[in-house]
Amino acid sequence: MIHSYAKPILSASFGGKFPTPKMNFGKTKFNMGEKEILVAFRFLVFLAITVLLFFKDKDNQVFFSGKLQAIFTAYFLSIAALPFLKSNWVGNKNFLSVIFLTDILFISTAIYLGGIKDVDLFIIFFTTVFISALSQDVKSVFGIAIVSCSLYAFLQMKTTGQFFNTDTDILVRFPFLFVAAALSGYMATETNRQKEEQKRLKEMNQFLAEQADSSSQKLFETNRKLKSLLEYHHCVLASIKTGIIVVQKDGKVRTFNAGARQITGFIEAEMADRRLEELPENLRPVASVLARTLAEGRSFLQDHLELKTDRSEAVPVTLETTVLRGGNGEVIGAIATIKDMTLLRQMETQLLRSERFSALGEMAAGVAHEIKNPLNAIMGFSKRLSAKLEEPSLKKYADIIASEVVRMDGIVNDVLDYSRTDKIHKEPSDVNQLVAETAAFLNEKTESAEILVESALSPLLPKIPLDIPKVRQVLLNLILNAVQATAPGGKLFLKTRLIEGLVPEAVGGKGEGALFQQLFLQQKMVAVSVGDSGCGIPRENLSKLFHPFFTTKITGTGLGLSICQKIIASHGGTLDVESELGKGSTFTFYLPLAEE
Amino acid sequence: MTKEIYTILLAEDEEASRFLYSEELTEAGYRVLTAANGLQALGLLEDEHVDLLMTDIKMPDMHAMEMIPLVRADHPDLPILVASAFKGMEDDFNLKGFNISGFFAKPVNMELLKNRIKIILAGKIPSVV
Repeated sequence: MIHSYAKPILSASFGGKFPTPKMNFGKTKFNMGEKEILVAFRFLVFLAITVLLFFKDKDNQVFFSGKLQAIFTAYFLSIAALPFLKSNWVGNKNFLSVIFLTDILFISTAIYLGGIKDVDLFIIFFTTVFISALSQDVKSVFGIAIVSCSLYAFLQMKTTGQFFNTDTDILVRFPFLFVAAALSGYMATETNRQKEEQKRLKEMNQFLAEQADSSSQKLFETNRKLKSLLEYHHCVLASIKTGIIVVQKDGKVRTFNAGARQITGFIEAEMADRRLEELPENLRPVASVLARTLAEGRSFLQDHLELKTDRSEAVPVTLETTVLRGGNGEVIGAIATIKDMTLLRQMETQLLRSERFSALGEMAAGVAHEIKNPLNAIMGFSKRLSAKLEEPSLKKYADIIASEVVRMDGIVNDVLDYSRTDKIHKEPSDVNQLVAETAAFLNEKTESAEILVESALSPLLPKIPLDIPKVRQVLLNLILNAVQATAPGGKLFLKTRLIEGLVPEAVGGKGEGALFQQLFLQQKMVAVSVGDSGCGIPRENLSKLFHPFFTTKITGTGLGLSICQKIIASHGGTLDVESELGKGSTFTFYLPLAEE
Repeated sequence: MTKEIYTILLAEDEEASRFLYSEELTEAGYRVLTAANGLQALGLLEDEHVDLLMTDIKMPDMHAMEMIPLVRADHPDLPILVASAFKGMEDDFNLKGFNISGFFAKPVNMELLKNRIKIILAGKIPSVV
């Protein structure tokens, strides 16, 4: 990942565009300081010549000659003009050569015209050559040295009348002048070279620093992008409800997402970096399939698996593993996805139940109808008998037949109620009000049974569409059941809440396989609970509770809860029960809010 | 001497029920004709003068909802009572515009039935036999 990001950045910054710093070899650049030195030096030469002329030959009238004055004035002006010249002019090699040649010519002419004698001119020439060398290369210095030597020799001849001086051996002085020129020229060149080198290095440094700066900027940017990408992937993993466990090739857990935590109860911090065989006992089934996936490089699917959570609850799951391959197709790990099937299994059961119930209901309705016809005759004839019989005991027998038929008729009517699919007339209603009214309606019953009613009604409930008489029937049924299950001194709890849960989408299909076609939406719902501190329901009865005709009461058709469930279902809701033997039961129905 | 007597046609496939109604109504002084299915009932309506029809809803050959329109074609004003094991079907019949004079759920309360018949036939000119 990092490589793929770093590569383009490097090629973008260095790809063939590495700039060569501009070098100024062959060009000597003076800065302001050097320009001043040059002015000072020339002024000194000017002064030295003036002093020489003045002191060495006091009686000489030539000092005031017009020619000499003109030369001195010209030279002085050339010095005075220097500070006004452009810096790069001063830095120009040819210009400097001209300056130094002018100096030498000036000195020579001044000496020649001034008629200075017995002065060691060599010092002045030597100084000029040496100074010029400081700012020139070897070739130019040599040129100046040759000109100096020629003028020196010429002046020597003119002043002394002979080429070879006995005091100062000119043959020694000439080579010395050249050696000095060469040496100083070489030193100047070397100094310049070093200066250039330093400058080049400085430029290079600056360039590298800039590069480093922009590179670190890009690295920072890349880092930021990577960070946000990581965060994004982390969020995706954390938001998926499916449990995802990823192990590396060496069997160490790399990822253990929030979904996995939700299902298993174990947290990522504890599972990360554990080896498969070090995972908790409860995760063994997952670990073993992951191990096989790694070992065999194949994917596995295990349906109807039960995982124990950290609280030892069994969660029905579907486990699927896939081989995790790297960019080159090599196995780098394995992924396990764990889907919590609790809800789906519950829905399957509910669907199965409601399908069975509706079939049963239809049959019950058919049977009830068939029973009604004989009842009609039995009832009619028993009454006729009773009317016609005069013997009291016989009359009584006939009356008993008639009253038993009435009872049978009541049961049959319950069955028909259950099977009948009446239309629901919903209108926005206040659930809390309905609960409170129903509880008040049953006040007498709960008081006589010495049961304390505790209500906790959420003030946040919006109005929801209800068929009030039908939902009231449900509440009555649940409350009466609770009262019957609770001994005197017990408690009854009425509770309403606003919660979020999965609700079948309204447009979903009906009939066979509806569960699998239907979409379930996360939606807000109103939950209404009726609880009691009664005897509780044995575990084996819990699953049968909503079966029609299932009853533990001596009298009763066993259709009450079935009918309740049907009514709630017709509102798009569900009815659930939780119960603990000896501690009590809580029936809760969930009603979806109105669609917006 | 002519005796003023009302004729009631009973259409009921259940023999026991048919016998019960017949006994009760005969005893109450009506002339009772019985039919075990829809076609028999329609045949009797053609041949005989009938003052009131009492019919079951579900009969082997036809449903009351099929039979009533056929009856109404020739006898638009004939009072019709419906008795059935199905509860709460009164609305269905009324909505269909069948002009039903009464609906009785089984088991039928005989006293109520006889009262209703008496009221219905009170203003009607009985047939002469």
